[in-house]
Amino acid sequence: MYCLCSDKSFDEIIAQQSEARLPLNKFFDTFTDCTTTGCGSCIEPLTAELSINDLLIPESHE
Amino acid sequence: MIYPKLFLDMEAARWNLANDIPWQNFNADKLSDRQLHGIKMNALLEWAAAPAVAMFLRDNSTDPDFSAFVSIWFYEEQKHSLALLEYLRRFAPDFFPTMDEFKEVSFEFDPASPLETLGMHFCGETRLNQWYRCASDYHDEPVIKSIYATLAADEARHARAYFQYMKQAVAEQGNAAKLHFAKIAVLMTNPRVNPALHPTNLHVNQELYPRDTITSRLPDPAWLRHWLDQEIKFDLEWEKKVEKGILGNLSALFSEKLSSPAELRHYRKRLEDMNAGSPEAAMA
Repeated sequence: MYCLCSDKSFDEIIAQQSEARLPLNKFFDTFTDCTTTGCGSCIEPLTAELSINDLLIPESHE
Repeated sequence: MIYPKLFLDMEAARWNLANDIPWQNFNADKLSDRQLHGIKMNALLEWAAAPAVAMFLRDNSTDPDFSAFVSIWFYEEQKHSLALLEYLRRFAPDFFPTMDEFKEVSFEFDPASPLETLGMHFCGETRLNQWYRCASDYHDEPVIKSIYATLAADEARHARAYFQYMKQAVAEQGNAAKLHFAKIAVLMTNPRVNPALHPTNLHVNQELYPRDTITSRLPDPAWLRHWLDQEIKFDLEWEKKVEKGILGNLSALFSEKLSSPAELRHYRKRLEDMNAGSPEAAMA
């Protein structure tokens, strides 16, 4: 899928996270616009993608 | 059913016209009459959601889930128009449209394939998201800048909602649905066919031709083209963002990597050949 607000494909976003492995909130703030200027509708599917790819880092692990 | 979850998600994201627009920050020095003219035209374009809703409800009368979602879309699009109208009412009442101007953009649309209309609106919302982002960048006046940024986020959310219904259609109807969506996306990613590729610029009522596009019925029918090219400067870089948004999501929908409009055209041709060759393949 493609996040319109971040102007990036999910694959690009997931690839960036696989390098950085950021906690969830920081992941959204760093690699997407979902939680700032964006619409937010990719938050749920992106979180699911992170989970599937074993890249979901909970905040408490920061 | 998709509607109940969409309702909750969209309700959670909803903004308040009175409190979430920074009306108090208005700065008249950062606004021209030409820009106010554009805000008026844009308010009228958004007002034209009403006939689109009538079309959706008529052509999707057997789909109660999608018809229910249309209620949200209608509310939010009318609110977009109202936000722009409220701006004019507060700061430039001379530019407020007349009732005749509102009536002029309310006319019946001819019936069309529901799936093609759905695909067209997905592409239209994707484009509108970028038009409004570009408009927000272009304006210096803080309130209208904020309004356009807010509307842009709504349009992206609408595109994602339409996309969910497109996914459902592909799951249920296979290649037959893909073919409808590919056909529309070919049209909506080809600037040579239509330089301002948005539903408001398409012919929708044969009897009224050539005055059967929303833009042709604006008080200034040439406004949109001029606004895009000469005012907000929606250039190739912005156009690329629209193209990536449409192709990137269709790639996921079709399980087929589509990097360019040319690849999409080839893919559509393959689908047509497959569907022509075997009726069963249309459902694959």
